[in-house]
This record gives sequence, C-alpha cells and structure tokens, in this order.
Amino acid sequence: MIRFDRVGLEYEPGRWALDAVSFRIEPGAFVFLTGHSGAGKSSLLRLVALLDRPTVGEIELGELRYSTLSARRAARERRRMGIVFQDNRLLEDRNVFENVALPLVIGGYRRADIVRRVGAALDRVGLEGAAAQSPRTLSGGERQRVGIARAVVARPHLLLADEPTGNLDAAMSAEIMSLFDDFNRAGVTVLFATHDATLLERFDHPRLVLSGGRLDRRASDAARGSRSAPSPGSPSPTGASPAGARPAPSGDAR
Amino acid sequence: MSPGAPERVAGPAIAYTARGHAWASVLRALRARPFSGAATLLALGTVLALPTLALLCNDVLADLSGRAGGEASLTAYLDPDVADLDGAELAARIDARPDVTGARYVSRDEALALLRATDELDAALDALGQNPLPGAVVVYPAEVGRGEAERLAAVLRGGEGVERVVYDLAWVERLDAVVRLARTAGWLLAGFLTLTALMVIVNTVRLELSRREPEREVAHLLGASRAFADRPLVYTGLLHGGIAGAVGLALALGAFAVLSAPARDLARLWGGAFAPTLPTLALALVVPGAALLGLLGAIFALSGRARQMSARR
Repeated sequence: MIRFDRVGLEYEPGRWALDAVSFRIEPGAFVFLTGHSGAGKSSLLRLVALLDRPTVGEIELGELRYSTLSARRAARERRRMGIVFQDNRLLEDRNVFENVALPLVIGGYRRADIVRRVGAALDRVGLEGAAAQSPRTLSGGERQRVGIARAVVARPHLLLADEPTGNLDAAMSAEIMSLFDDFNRAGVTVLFATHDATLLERFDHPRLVLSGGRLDRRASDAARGSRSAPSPGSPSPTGASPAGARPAPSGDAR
Repeated sequence: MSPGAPERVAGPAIAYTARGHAWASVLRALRARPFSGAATLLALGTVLALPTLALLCNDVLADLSGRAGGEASLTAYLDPDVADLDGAELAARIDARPDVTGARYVSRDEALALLRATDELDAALDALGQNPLPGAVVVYPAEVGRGEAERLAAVLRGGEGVERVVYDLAWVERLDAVVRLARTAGWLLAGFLTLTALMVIVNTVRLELSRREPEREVAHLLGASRAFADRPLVYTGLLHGGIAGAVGLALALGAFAVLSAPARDLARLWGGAFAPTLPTLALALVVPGAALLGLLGAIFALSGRARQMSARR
C-alpha cells in the first residue's frame, strides 16, 4: 500500500512541484499517473521511489514511513522496486545481460541466481536471444523491453514507470503496456506515469490526475467513473485491484 | 543453448561480487580508452620517476659527501728535532682518539721523498744540501666541520713537539654544502612532483567520475549504496597509482643505469669506486606507496564530489 498524506515538495523557495497531494494505492493495483508536462508526475514518482524527501506531509509504503528512513535504508528499499524510464537509461558500454543483471549485482545475488533470473526476465520480455547484444544494436522498443527486464529481474513488489512509452509508436506502446499488465496480473503494483491519451483511453485502470502539482480530484474521480472498455485483442486489465487508487480528501497541507 | 544465452554470456562468478564488479568496470573503462589511459599512466609514471630517482641518488650523494669528508685532514708539523720514534708514538696516541678516524706519522725522509716526486722542486732540494722538511702527523677527523676541526687542532697544538697545526676544510665544507643543497632541492622537487602526481590522479578520477555519472545515477536509482557507486572510482585511483608507480620505478632504474657511467667516471676522479647500494626496502615501497597515493587522490576527488552534491541539495 502506498499512502500520500498532504505531501508537498518545494524545489526552490516558494515553488512547489507538488502541493498537498493525498492518495492511497492498494497492493496489486495498476494506476495511471497522468497530467500535462510539468504537472508533477516525475516528482511524485521520485518521491515514491525514495529518491527525494517530501518538504511537508508523510508518505507510507506498507509499514515504512518515509520520514523515518535513513538514506541507506531508502537505497535498500529501492532494491525492492522496479523503475522504468522513458529514455530507458541503459548502460551503453555493457551488453543486455549485464544491464539486466545490474540490480541483482547491487543486491548481492550469486552468479547462478543472476544467470537464472536474467534468463527468465529476458524470456518474459521476448529477448531471450539478445543477452550478448549491445543496447546500441537494439530498436527503441527492444531497448525499452530491456529496461523493463532490468526493472523486474529482482521481482519487485512495486513497478514505477515514468512515461515508458513516450518514445514509442502506438503498436510498440501497446506491446509494452501488455507487459506491464502481465506483471500486474502476477501481483506487482504498477504506478504508470503517462500523458498518452490513446493509452489512457485504451486501458481501463484507475488514474491519478495531477495539475500544477496538485491532485485534480474531480478529474481523478471522473476517470474512475468513466473507464472505457479495452479494445479487442488488447490485454485484459483485470489485474488491477478493485480498490485501485483512491484520491484522499486533502486538507490544508501547510 | 543459443549464442546469446545468459549462461554463455555471463562472466566468471567473481565478476558478480561487489568488488569483482567494480574491478571489471575499471578494466572495461581502461579498455574503452586505451590511448588516453596509457598517456595518463605514462605521464603519471614520468612524474613519479623523478622522486624515485631522487631516492636512488640520495644514497649516491651521501656517499660522495662521506667520501669528501674522508679526504679532510689536519696536519701537525713537528719540531725538526723530534725523533721518528716520538713522532710515530704521537701519531699512535692521536689515532686512538674517538674523534679521529685515523692518524699517521710522515717522517722527514718520507716528506722529502714526496716533495721530490714533484719534478720542478727536485733541483732546488739538491741545491739545499740537507732536508729542510719537518716530520708531521696527518690526522683524519671523524666529523667534518669547522668547530670539530678547531677543537682537534687545539688538542694537537698541545702535543709534545708540535710546532704548528694546519688545516684547510673550506673546500670540504663547500662541497658538503653543495651536496646538502642538492639533496634538499632534490627532496623538495620530489615532494612537489609527488603532489603533482596526486593532483593528476585527483583530476583523472574527477574526469572518470564525470564519465561515469550516468552509470552512477542508474545504480543510485536501482538502490545501490554509495560504496557500490564509489568503488570503481576508488579502484581507478588505486590502479592508476600502482601502475604509475611501477612505470616510474622502471623509468627511474633506467635513468639510474644511464647515469651510472658518468658517476663511475666521477668516482674514479675522486679516487674511489662507484658502488652504490640500492635502497631495496625503499624501492619495494614505491609501487605500494604510489597505489596509496592513487587511493588518496580518489578519496579527495570523491569527497569533493560529495561536498558538491550536498551543497546542491
């Protein structure tokens, strides 16, 4: 469970990236985080990923309260999350295997486990034969799939995605989305930031809508109430928790 | 198993330990830029060769200074009436003193023979008809210095039958001063060059830090500790220092070998043989010392970076 309680993030004096944001995401949910560019999606994801600390308010992730976490503990907790970026952030001087293995090396896994898990992760994203390839030789979609394999290789309980389809065409975006749906069906909580209207129309998942750093409760509620049916042939969104994301009443943050 | 299968692609188990992974990353970076890496190592090696050469030459200079000191002497001229036996006895008494390394009696006949060896004076001595030279005791002081010489001269003047004491230590003192100046300048230069090497390593690690920024950022996002992210840079400093130390040692030994021929000639002029003893222990410490220097450089660079980051936050 992820809970934001009147969270604010001030990035320079008087300028707030997020302002009084409150919501709750249940375990196993698939939630879209949406809003225009600059609305605060990436800032919110960085807070969930324990990369930044809120200026005000409290964040809870399961039993953890962010305000009491040390930097070392935050890094350890981050190993239990998977993060996918728009620009996939692959290391160009390593091959696909080494890129995907990185979280496991960081986590201190043994070679045999690393080989097995990387093989399984590449298999899941359809790149089982690409382990020796350099990321430079891959297409945009393949690179993103490597990024997803890296994010899921340590079997995270939470998958954070920051516009992972932003650089892909519609067909590739749908493929990538189907992968996220698969992981969600396997019980992984997914928080997926996007402003791709086609994706939002096509996949029926609860939404958190950000606008100018504040949670647009009306838009979030409206999205929850007017979900369109998935198009034929698209992956089923049934993995989302019925509870999904609940924007919480936000009081005065400061 | 397909050619791209993970088992086939995966490296040895050691590459998946935190330290093995860091070393692999360092070697990968060196392989990726072999020419700039080699140029940096050669530059560092050259910078470290000079302090190492100073270490080697220090013993040679000490030897030269000691040899010059050994040449210093005081001469006590005796009354012409002093018998050879008494002169020899006086020399033996002086020789037993702890502040001299040696004393020998030069009889009147021996002195005349030495003088006759100089061709120009042979005819003049014949014309004199008798030996005009006194007997003398030549004393070699243990310490070379004006104070020590004056103290010893006073003792000699008090000796029975001693008429006059002559000493000229000025040239020895001058040489000793020149050698001391050269040694001090050498050590200062060595210190500056070691500092330069340290700064080159700091700069190399800082450059490597900039190059590795994307990798460090990804590692941070994936939950890596600071130690995990810093380790390759610490090893970069260690490796650069160690290799540069080895290169520097090789260059210094090569230069020493080249300098040996003129040093041998100089020693011959000095009336001795050039047989320096290499400071083995000090030389054995050059590579580990340089590696430590590299480690320090990396720590400086990383702590500077950490300060920058915390100021930004």
